Amino acid sequence: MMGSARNEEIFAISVEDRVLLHAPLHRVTALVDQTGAAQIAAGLASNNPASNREIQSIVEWLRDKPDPAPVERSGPIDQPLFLGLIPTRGCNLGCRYCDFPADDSNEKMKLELARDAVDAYLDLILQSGKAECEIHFFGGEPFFAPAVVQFVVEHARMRAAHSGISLHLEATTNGYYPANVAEWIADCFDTIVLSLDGPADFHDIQRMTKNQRPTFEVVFENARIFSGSQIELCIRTCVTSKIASALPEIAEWFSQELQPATVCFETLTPSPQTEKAGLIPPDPWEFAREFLAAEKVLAGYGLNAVNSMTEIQSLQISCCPVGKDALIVAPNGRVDACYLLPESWEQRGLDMNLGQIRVKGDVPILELEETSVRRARGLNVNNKLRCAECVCRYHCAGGCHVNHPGDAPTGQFDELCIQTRIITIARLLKGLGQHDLASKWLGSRRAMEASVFQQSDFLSGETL
Amino acid sequence: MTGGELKLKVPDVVSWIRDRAQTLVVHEEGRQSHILIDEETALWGWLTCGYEYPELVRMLAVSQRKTEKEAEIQLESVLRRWLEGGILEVVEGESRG
Repeated sequence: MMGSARNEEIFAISVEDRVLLHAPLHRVTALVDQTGAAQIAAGLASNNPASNREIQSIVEWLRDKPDPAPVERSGPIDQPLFLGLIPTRGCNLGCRYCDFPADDSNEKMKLELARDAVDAYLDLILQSGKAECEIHFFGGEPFFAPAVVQFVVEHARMRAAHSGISLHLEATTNGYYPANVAEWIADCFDTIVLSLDGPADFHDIQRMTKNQRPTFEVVFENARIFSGSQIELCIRTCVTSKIASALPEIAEWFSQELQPATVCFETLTPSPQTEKAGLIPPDPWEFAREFLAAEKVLAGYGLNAVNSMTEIQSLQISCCPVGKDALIVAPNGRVDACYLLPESWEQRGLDMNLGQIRVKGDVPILELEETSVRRARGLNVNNKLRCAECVCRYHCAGGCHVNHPGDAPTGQFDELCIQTRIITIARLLKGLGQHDLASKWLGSRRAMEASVFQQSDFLSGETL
Repeated sequence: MTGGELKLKVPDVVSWIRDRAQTLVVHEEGRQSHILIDEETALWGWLTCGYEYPELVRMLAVSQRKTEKEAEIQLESVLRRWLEGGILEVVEGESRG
């Protein structure tokens, strides 16, 4: 007899004539047939043992106390994820898909503010007893304000060394600057996230200077400098419909030319700017297939493919710094939870501001509003209706809080959800060694649709 | 880099390597080495980025929470020591004194 209880932390996805079970909190992923899945549901609903020993062992695993689900942080911020600094919102490029208002935002962070942010952050780290800290630079283009970055790097290294704290430096950058700047970065930073959309034919149709000149040559030369150094090089490629079908080719080229630690393929976020430029996100079914093919190419070279919403190795309730107590300081001294422009949150009715850098007496402090911190922490998958019954909920965590609102009805999956669900399911199958089944499933649009458009992924005897 | 009335540079025979806490500067011909720590390692970093004297004063003043006058006194003392140690040199023909 089938059980009818819904098992809210055990997900079951139909894949062809099989059922993929995924219970991340129980650390169980298994592939069973329909009968086996029904027996598992029944076994969980009753105390009757299953006749099949393998099925019974899965039931027992699933009956064990699960790991605690990731929860919202609470209390004052004493373990920030990192200090983010935005030296400027300005940029030296005019990429066709970028909606940052680079032309009219040349405000650069004052050195005093940068110092106060670093000092206040390091004081917080010292108080928390941590031995490590991280400073991440965002933009605009952070190296469009080189004096701020170079000041901070030396000041922070000095302060951290003096306090016995290990400092990790990371920057997200377009790579468009003279080679001596790249060499300095390679010498000083631990991780660089470099925007590079592939070989020249792909990169230059999307990423150009403000006067529409190609940027590939300079960026590629600097990428080679990073690649030849000790720095951890993460390449970030923005995937539009124009380049989606070439992801395996792009992955092959990255592997041969640059050997980055990771290649992160993220799909274009549509906006009025991208529409005006004639750029659209890829078809989600095509993107998922091409991403998985690119992942295979990269794996052949021992390299990692990343898509921020499909990382199945970790459990999270937010897939970005928001909600993880990152402290991101804007050029005007605001401390925010998110590095996007405030205008973009406000359009969605969100407020990501946490507070302000202040100086009291001679001491810089992070003056954070308790209610603002609570509000930012509340932006997590537990409060996203759409994700409530989705197998990806602890991996993609609903995606970007600004650009992918989670207030749609449960199970109403959009294009981002479709690609996320396909990649996640395929990765789970491959993790079980089911490469042939994954290939067969990916080759059948009808089979993928049957899996992807399940309204609820909860294991339930009634739905099997 | 312009140091007040002189133009200074790092000689070609000087190389350096840094870790998280310090910078080791080596004069290859003189076989002398200098270990720079604290604000000296920061100053060396800014100097080798190509910042001019007034910018070094400003960065040092901000970093150390000093007045620019105090920072300038400190900077001059450090530069003098580096010149004496051979890890900085005056660019020939660039004296403005």
